Amino acid sequence: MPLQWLLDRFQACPRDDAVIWRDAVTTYGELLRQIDAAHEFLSAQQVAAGESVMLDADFSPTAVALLIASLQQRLLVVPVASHVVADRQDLARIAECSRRFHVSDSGSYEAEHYPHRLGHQFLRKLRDAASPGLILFSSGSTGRPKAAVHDFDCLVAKFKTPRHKQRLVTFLLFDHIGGFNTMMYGLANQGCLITLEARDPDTVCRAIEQHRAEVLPTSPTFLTLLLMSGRLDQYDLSSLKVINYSTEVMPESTLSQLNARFPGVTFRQSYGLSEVGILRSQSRANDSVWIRVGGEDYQTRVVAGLLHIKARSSMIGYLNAPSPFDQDGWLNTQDEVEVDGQWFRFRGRQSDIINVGGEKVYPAEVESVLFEVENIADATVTKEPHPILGNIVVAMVRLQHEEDMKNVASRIRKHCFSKLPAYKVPVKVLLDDGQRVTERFKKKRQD
Amino acid sequence: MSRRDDLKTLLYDCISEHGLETNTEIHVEDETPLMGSGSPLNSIGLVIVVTNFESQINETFGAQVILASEQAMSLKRSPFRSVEALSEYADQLLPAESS
Repeated sequence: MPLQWLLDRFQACPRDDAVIWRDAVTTYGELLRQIDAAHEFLSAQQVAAGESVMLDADFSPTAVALLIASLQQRLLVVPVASHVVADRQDLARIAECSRRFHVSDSGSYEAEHYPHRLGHQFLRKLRDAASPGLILFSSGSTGRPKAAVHDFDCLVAKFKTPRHKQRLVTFLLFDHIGGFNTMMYGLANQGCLITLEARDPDTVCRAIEQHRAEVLPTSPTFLTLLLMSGRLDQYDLSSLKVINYSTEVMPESTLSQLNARFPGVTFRQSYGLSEVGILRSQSRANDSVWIRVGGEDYQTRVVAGLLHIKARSSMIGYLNAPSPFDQDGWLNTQDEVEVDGQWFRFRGRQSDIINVGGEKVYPAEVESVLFEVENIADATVTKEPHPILGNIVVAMVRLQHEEDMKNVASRIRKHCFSKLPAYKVPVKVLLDDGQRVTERFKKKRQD
Repeated sequence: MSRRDDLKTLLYDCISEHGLETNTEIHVEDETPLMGSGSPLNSIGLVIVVTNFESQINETFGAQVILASEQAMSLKRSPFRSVEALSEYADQLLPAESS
């Protein structure tokens, strides 16, 4: 049965903490019993190997157990984080789900049937090979969500290598490649998953303090919110050893503030995509945004300034979009990088780059300078079309305390002119309505 | 003072504000060109001044004028040819003054 190696590891540490859900501990022994119960539920449901099923859940122990049991029964699993607003019917249609499983508040399983049958060649291929599958939807911040189909065995192979046993906060969501990675890393190494009921600074800090979390995998946007919240001094966060930040470009100014606030904590940038999984990475230094990525399963190359990746754990393809791989299996990530030997520095998604009169502006670079300006709590740089320059740079800012926006704009531009070439200076400075963070804690640069 | 004079004052304020932001002294007169050779502003400077001027006008007069537009760019006589011309162009874009 698939994942037997994982269950063997659970069996070796039955008394250790596996999952903390709503402040209650589930040990590995209990998790194994829940996996048995999940198998019974699937048998009662008469689900056949190769069926595509949606798992509408969060990191509760019952949901983790059902996920593991489903993969052991060679199902094609479509995780959807329960609090994420998404049209389940639409996702089920794209992923050809026969049913949706949901974990109720009391922890019992519930099922809803859909009329869809497997038709797509990628899904049939997995079913015919008796391989469990994982279908991840991209967050769809631009355009429709894309369904990436993974052969689960390829995606999970790297977790068989034993690594550190740690207590990790499951900040990234259940249906996100980063969330999946946190969960698999934690469980494969007999660590503990500390789950969150909400993702605001207080809830996260309280969970770290109460459950002695060692690793916080999160996004630069959340770390900015955390600094802004002024709540850091209220909690004992001394258990933290590693803060992993991913998915967006980290402003250098934020990173240096974080280093000052968390002495002794290792800051590590990770890099991954729904299409290829999470690469192993190493930051050049704690306060450096230069990283080395790769690992035994990944090859990287830079073509015309853009990072390309070839991975053993690459998805088979999208269900609802053309293949992004070239004929040799390379994926153009569309992420612009600067290269220094084996080190990369991420400049931004190509689609986020702003062309001002033929010059390139990387939003993250400008945001980093904006954070240096007094009274700026958060900043998002975006663009607006302009008849003279093609585009202009627009800064959306949140303030620490009220101030006349004319003053704010003037102070911002004065600082930016002293730090940046003129074409990178925000022409417009607008007050942020507070809606520029997605439910996945990424900056929303496009409406 | 006419509305056009008020507009011109607003524009002068925006230009001197830009001088403060860039830490340069910008000397302009009514006939100083705002773009091309002879202009003390580079293209970003022009765009910042015009964008600011636009928002000042809209705030002061409760209007919604757009100064930097395809239409402005395609006029035979560019409204950006001088301080005077841009003030005049802004005045034309605003609704006629009620007497």
